[in-house]
Amino acid sequence: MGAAIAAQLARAGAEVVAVDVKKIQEIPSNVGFNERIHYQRLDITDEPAVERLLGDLVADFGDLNYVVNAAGICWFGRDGSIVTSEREVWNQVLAINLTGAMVVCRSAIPHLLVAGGGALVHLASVAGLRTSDGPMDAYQVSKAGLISLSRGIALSYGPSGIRSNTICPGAILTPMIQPLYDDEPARAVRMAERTPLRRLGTVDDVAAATCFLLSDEASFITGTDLLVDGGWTLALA
Amino acid sequence: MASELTTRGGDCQYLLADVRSAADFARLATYVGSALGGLDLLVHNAGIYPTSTIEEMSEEDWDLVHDTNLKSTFLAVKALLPELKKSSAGRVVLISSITGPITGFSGLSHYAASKAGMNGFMRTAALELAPHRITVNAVEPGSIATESLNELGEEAIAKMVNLIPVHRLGEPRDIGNAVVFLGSDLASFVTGRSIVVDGGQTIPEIPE
Repeated sequence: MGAAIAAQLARAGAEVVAVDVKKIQEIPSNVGFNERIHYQRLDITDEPAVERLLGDLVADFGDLNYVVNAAGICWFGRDGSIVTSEREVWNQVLAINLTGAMVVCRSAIPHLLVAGGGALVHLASVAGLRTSDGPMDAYQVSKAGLISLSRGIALSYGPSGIRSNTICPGAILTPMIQPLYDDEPARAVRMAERTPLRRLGTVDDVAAATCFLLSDEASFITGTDLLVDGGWTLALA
Repeated sequence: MASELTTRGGDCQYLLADVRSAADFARLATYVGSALGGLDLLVHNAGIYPTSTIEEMSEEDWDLVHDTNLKSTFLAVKALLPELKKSSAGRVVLISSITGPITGFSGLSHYAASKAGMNGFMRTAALELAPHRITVNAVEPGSIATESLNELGEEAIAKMVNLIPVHRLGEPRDIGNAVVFLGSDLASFVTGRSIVVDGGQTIPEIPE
């Protein structure tokens, strides 16, 4: 998802610094980084490293205008009920999905203020608004926390010209979930059938919504959650 | 109105109609079918908000607001559904409000109920029309600088601006932008949802 967002932002004319905990050699070659997308290896749970990188990129590129929190993990199979899953799962999922996003916001907002404002989009999930199949307690709590964090930022920094919104994707075909569908193709069919629009979402669906919320077209939209779920959460069943 | 829009670069046809009238919508559907051969996007924007407390409100007051704001939503979608089905990517966007779906407003019980009703209709219409690849969404405007709002006077508007985290009123263009996004291919996986366009006004637990 992050790669698709980076690509759309670059096409829209932005200089994009994409970060991931992986080495660049481990990033799939089809991600398509180009001269407008600058890759940096970064662990978002390492606050001094996040601060350093943001300082460097402002020095190299000038003002920071937009921030997208797309980093996240979902431990299918290991994440479950809080009673039965390992404590380590909770710690890791919360550390990356919620605390990591908080660290990025905390480090980025001073730069956005220097730039005279800006916009943040956080990739949450419909699981943060409802529940996960499964269950996956750590994941859904991390996403609910992210939604709440976004609102807090929207309220605190609205007067300074900073907007904050979330995207809540439903069933999206991403590289993270692809292996699961490869192992069990019927799962992909089931997810598409449960979606009222009768298809899985694409990373481009999510990227388009992200770019809209970042853009000046959305300059009066803040503190909201945009669901990109094909109607997934509309019906009870 | 049509000539103003046409000079802005669009091709605009104006049809005088009463949104409370099924016959008028039938006339519109016939025109759309014959002149355009189908419909890609239906935007329902008509609405009224005369203020009245529940104590003072007559049954006629209630009915007028509900017929204009809510029944018209059903009439519009029903009448134009055959034309929307002809599109490969039909879109319906309803202009709802934060009043009703999220907040209350003294003197607007009929309006608030009609707007909450629009959202309920929208969610179910999204499910019913999804098999036809038609998406149904809404926009919930907050405080927008429309002509009727400007009539409140400078002092009232300044107070209102203070309650909005981004410290400005919305412009009609802000609502237009959200409608354009929901009506476009960019939002083809978004259905049954509303986008709140309120500058963050409904986030605080207690307004400052």
